[in-house]
Amino acid sequence: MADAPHYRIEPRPDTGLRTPHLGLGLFLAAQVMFYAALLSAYVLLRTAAEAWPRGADLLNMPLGAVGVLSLAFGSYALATARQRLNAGKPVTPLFTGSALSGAAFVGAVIGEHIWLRGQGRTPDANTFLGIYYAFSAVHAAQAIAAVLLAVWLIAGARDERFHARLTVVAGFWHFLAGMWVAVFMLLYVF
Amino acid sequence: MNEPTDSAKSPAWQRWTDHKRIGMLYGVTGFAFLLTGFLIMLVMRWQLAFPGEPVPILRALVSEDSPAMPGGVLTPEFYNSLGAMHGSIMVFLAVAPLGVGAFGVYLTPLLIGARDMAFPKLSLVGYALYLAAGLVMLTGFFVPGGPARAGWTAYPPLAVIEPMGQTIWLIGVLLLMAANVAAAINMIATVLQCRAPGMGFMRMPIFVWTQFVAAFLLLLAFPPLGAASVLQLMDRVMGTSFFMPSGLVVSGEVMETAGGGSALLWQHLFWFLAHPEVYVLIFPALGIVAEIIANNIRKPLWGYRAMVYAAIFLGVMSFLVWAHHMYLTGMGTAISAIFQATTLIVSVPSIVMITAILLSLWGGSIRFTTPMLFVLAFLPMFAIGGLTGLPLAFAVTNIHLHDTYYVIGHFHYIVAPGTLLAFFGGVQHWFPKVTGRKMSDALAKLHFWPTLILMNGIFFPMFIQGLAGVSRRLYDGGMTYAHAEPVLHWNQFMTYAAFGLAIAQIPFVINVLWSWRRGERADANPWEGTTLEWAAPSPPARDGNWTEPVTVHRGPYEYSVPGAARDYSPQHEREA
Repeated sequence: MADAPHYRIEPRPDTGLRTPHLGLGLFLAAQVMFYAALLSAYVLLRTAAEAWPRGADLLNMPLGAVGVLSLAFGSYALATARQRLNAGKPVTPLFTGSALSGAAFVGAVIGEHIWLRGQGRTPDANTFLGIYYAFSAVHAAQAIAAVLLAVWLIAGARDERFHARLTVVAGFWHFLAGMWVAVFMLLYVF
Repeated sequence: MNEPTDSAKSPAWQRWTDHKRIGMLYGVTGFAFLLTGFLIMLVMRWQLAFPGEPVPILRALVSEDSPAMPGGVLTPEFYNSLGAMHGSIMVFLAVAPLGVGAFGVYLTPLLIGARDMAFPKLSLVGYALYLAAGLVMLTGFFVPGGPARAGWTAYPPLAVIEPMGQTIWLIGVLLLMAANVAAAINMIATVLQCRAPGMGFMRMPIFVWTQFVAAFLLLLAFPPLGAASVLQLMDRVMGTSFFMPSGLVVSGEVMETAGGGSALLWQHLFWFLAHPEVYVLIFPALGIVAEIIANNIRKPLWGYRAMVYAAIFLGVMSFLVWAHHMYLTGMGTAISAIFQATTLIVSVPSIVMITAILLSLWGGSIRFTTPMLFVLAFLPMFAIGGLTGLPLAFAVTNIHLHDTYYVIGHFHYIVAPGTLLAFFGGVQHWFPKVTGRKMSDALAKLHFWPTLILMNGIFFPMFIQGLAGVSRRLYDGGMTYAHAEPVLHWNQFMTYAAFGLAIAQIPFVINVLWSWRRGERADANPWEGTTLEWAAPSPPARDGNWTEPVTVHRGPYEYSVPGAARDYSPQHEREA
């Protein structure tokens, strides 16, 4: 329904909301609840634990940092894309950069999992490592979706909905990048 | 917002994203799952009434060496599986999808004057995920060890050490999370963004409000269960110990896990979804009841605004009562006290809603149509379910009642004689809009009276057994416990009522199938209703519902307006 008037790209007068932006906001609300449950599990298990290891002692800090920077770059590229689009400049390289940085994040997570297993630090070794594997696997799965969305921006039509599509994809990326910074601080630093 | 479009331009694939078709798909699929869950319950009830005796019909279908039912007799393990699957199917795959999927997706756009849902493709994706979740859950019947058998609540540590069926159940729950989040986003966006001109929030029918609030519950409550399912999946597949305490002894041996996990953590995350989920089962029913009552009393609903605010407050409070399911876990008296208080508070808006509906009847020119019969029966059934919940709100009484049949009777009165009666009434009420034909009144009454009586025959004795202390977790119905002896005969009574209830549904099925083809033709507004769906043709236009633009000029329940020519003033008609 490309021309269906019920799909509002422009704000609806009485709510002031754009439909795709609203959809994104609601989706991110669900995401927040998902991560809040994981974080509450982390807090409860950590406070109940007799001992809790330092993440820096067990995890691979350089690979973790690569992950943070990858998602941050992908998010930054999409934020920049909107400005370039408004200025009439080409944006495809930025989308490609986002897709590649998302792939780099997934690669960093896989690399760290392999490295950890090589050290005998498997998910069943202790609750901290279990939590790390849970967070990183969930986030990598979401990053794969983020890569596909960036590819969609590259390959998709540049029609009247393109701006809305870019906003939605960028919003998802910003959430992923921000959430991973929080997870990184929680698992690797504190 | 709702301008008609040229149907010739609409490609064939697009019709699969039409809200009416998606609503029908939810309806057919939900009804199939309802039937599956019901048949599972019949097998369980046979075992409870006649422990150790072969189940009729199935006895001829299964072999002597069947691991689940040797010679047609249920094993205790398979009984547990059937219990877990009955609950999972009824809650997740039948009642909720019928309420928010079939009724919600089909009717909400019509009631707000929209052409479709806000995200039509997402409608189809949500339905496909729901169907996939259901089919995945059912595949548990075909794997070694059978389907999940740790209850629909899937409490660890039991759930973690169960056979493979539990893993399949968890994958099903993850798919359900995705399906429900997709459906919830769509419903909220539709209500906010797709209302016809003039359809302000305080002109929306109660049905729309209940769908709107239920969608928020699904959106915010399901993801935590999804996260918990990921963790339980890891406990099962990767050997983590999120929910596994240290030093756990199973079959006399200490389990080799890292330990340090918390079984209570799962319960908190599970009930954070599962209590709001109860309201997801109830809200659509309350919405249906409000619409049918308003139409049949021929006067405005009493306390419309109070009902709206109560629904919103109920939705918010439903997130703050989850641990009243956990008084027995020893989580602490301070926490129990907090959840006792919130549970009592949550009963207030429920009572406001039901009281407003009840008071609406006062002074009305009541038309005893068959949909009205169903919803009038809903009121006492829902009231019994609600009022029997009050003793469960207090830890002191809950401790004695929690593990008994009292609890089974309580929540079934809410969702079976309660919600399902509302659904049957809703089918009867909106059938002319969907098909252009009316259902047979005679067949509907033949369905209604036995259904009402037999549902009570099944569930009321559960209160008697529960108050006598009969545990709800017994494979043999309680025959090995002396204290159950005086009330044991009710098991057979309930089972006969359950089989009778199965027979009582035959007129309903015949009625739907027969009336679809041969029912009395109905015009666009056969009940002389005021809400917008009656302004659409019957059935609604295939592309976009409306044949001409719709604008709203008044509130949803303007019946018997003084000075008006008729006793109903539709929302889309200008005031004289």
